[in-house]
Amino acid sequence: MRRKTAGPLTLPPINGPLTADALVFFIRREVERAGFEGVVLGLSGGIDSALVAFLAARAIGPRRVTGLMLPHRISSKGSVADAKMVVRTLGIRSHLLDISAAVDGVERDLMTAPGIHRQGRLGNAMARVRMLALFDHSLAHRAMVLGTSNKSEIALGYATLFGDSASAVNPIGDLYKTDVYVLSRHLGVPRALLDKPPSADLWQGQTDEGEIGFRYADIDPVLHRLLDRRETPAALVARGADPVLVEFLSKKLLTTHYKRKIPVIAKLETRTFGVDFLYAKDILS
Amino acid sequence: MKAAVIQSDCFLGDISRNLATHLRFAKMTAKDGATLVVFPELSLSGYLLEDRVKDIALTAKQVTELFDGTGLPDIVIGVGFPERTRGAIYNAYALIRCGAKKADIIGIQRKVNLPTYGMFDEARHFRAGSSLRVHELPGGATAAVLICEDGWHPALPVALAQLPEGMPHLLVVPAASPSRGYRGERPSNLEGWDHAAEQFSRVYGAATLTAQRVGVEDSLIFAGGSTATDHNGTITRAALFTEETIIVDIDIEALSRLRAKAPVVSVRDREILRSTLA
Repeated sequence: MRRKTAGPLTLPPINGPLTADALVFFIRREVERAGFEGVVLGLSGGIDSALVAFLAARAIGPRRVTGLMLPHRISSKGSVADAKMVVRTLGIRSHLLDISAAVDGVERDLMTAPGIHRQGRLGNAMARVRMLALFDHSLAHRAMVLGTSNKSEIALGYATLFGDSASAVNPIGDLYKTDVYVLSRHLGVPRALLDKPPSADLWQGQTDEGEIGFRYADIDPVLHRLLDRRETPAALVARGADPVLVEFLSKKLLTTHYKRKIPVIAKLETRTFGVDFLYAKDILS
Repeated sequence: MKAAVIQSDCFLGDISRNLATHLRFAKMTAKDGATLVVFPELSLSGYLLEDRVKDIALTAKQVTELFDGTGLPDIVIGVGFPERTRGAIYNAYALIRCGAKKADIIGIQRKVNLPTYGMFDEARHFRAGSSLRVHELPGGATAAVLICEDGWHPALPVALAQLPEGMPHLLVVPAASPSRGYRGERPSNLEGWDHAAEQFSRVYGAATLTAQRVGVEDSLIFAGGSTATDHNGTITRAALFTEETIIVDIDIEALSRLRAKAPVVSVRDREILRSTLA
């Protein structure tokens, strides 16, 4: 009889200081070359945006970093308090803008269809109103919008298209949620943010792990193997991974891929944007 | 001789601004006595060129003329650029002898192995070179150039070592290696590069100048981490995430002596190579 020897799968920890150096370098270079005065990001009170704020403050100095706190009246009260803690700790600039009235306006004037998917649509409206605030600030203050989505949620498609997924540059989009914790601890992100459960905070009591149905601690090692190492689902199950989780993630990676592409253009000419007009964004910057 | 490895950044697709960077570094290191100054892969143009390759590729003559009348002393510089020929464009590297007035080309190496895996799609934009050349530098040192991916193909130094005159004294390895793998001591691509440089120097007895690009192009972070090994195999590393230069003293005589004492390649090796490949 074959003995099952595989232990639980783990994600090898990232090198905190080295990764911080790389991302600080990345942010500094991108901001300087694109000719922005500074950066702006949404500070939700969660760990992902806190981490980006810490990296940005180190990269270009805290006075060139602006955090927009954009609560809705149903946001948890702790969120703004935690975001303010990040602002105080780093000495970055910030604005507190309540989005409730704007979202009410969207709901009243634009969401005219009947009440199906009401909660999800309202959540999307909040995410997109926040995006409006960030990009408005961007143009008004010549500030580059930094994205704050991590690799785990990008992989799961756990984001609002053109909402929280919208940014100019995302420094943490190749870090799994587990890596976000490692790097945040290294950079000194306040304890309160490290300890609370991850949440999109779009309705009361919402948590990522409650909604997704799995814990990031279980998701990340499997994602890393499927995505980065291209191990097969069968091999992962043989190594002791939960078959339901493996199946869920392998499907999700493909079914949510539309969220990671720029809008597809019907090809008619010889060279088509997004297909074969191949230039880096940084060309001539 | 003194050689300088330049870990430089550049402006993607903007040759005239990048030329200014080359002149600045070359003047600075020549002042410190360097007579060979080597820059990274595609140092004049940047790496992630894609369709821009066709817009900006230069002939070898045009690249050489860029260094005419620049006021540089009599040094050799190694620069990477997209080379336009009558029929194709290559990922190329030129060794150019500068001087007060006129610059002369010593030789060109075209990248032989164009990576097309993972993030790379070089074969879409470049044609592959077909052979390695050994270049003679003023003062008698010989040098071969292995451009980035070529540094990972063991057959190439083996082929060089088969030459009647033996392994060249210097291996110039210009690279633009996007960093990846942040779960170890150094980015994992650089760990590989360190091993390669050590291998070249220990096994083949060649002083190795690995000029890594530093900078950011879209998603790609070029971390730097250039290295130089001297005639003793002592390795010097450049810092990460910053422009930097390494100046190394290389005793060419010592390298020649070393090779005569312990030849890397024997006649027997050649026979075995032939019979294995037959």
